[in-house]
Amino acid sequence: MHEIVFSAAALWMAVLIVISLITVVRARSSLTRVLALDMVTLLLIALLILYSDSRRVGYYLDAALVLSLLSFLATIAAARYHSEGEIF
Amino acid sequence: MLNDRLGNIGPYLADTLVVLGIIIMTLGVIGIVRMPDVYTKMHAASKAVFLGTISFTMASIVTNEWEIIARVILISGILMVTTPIASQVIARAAAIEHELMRTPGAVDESVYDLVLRDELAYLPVERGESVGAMIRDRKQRSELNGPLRHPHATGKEDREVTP
Repeated sequence: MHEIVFSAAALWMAVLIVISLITVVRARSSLTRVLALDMVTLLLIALLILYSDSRRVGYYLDAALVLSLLSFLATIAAARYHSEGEIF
Repeated sequence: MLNDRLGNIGPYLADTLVVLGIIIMTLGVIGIVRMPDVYTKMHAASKAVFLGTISFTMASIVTNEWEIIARVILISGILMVTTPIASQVIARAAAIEHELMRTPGAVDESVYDLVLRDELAYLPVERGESVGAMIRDRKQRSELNGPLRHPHATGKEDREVTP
């Protein structure tokens, strides 16, 4: 990947993450908040993949792996707590 | 291995895939900002952004380094399994809570049952965040001030609901 494409893509991903965080704050219901937080973590995973793609090191991807698993657990815990009042 | 076959179009292929993923993710973010309620926002959040992430992972296969490719395959596999499950859990929570449908023309048929059971006096249109929260609020108020009856209540609140 060329350097200018990486710079523009990283900048635009940062803009998308900021817009999603504003959506998290301004959401009208709590499930929308959970959904937007899930999307923020997906965008962060994509940003980490982009970084490791550009720098050609795999260390960013460990963080992306842990982040994907943690966001899955957090989304399920929040949604189940919202709907049933308990997680397990 | 892959770069020998690709020649020198490899970086351009990666550029194309990254730009494609950026476009798909932008559409997803526009969707989650513009869609009216959580049922329609789920389309944009769970499908479009995930597809953009998959496009990024395919772009990083062009780097031709084994440690990146193995981890990227693992990440995309995990995302492919966990994203539909998370989306389904959120949709189930919204259905249990009778979250309001704000899409024009949408009809929430699960609320009809509540109206039949006299837990709800009218179909809510633009108030509050979910019908379940309204019912909880109503039950708390009726515990405080005695039973709260709506104008159409017949006095037989425990009647059977016939579908």
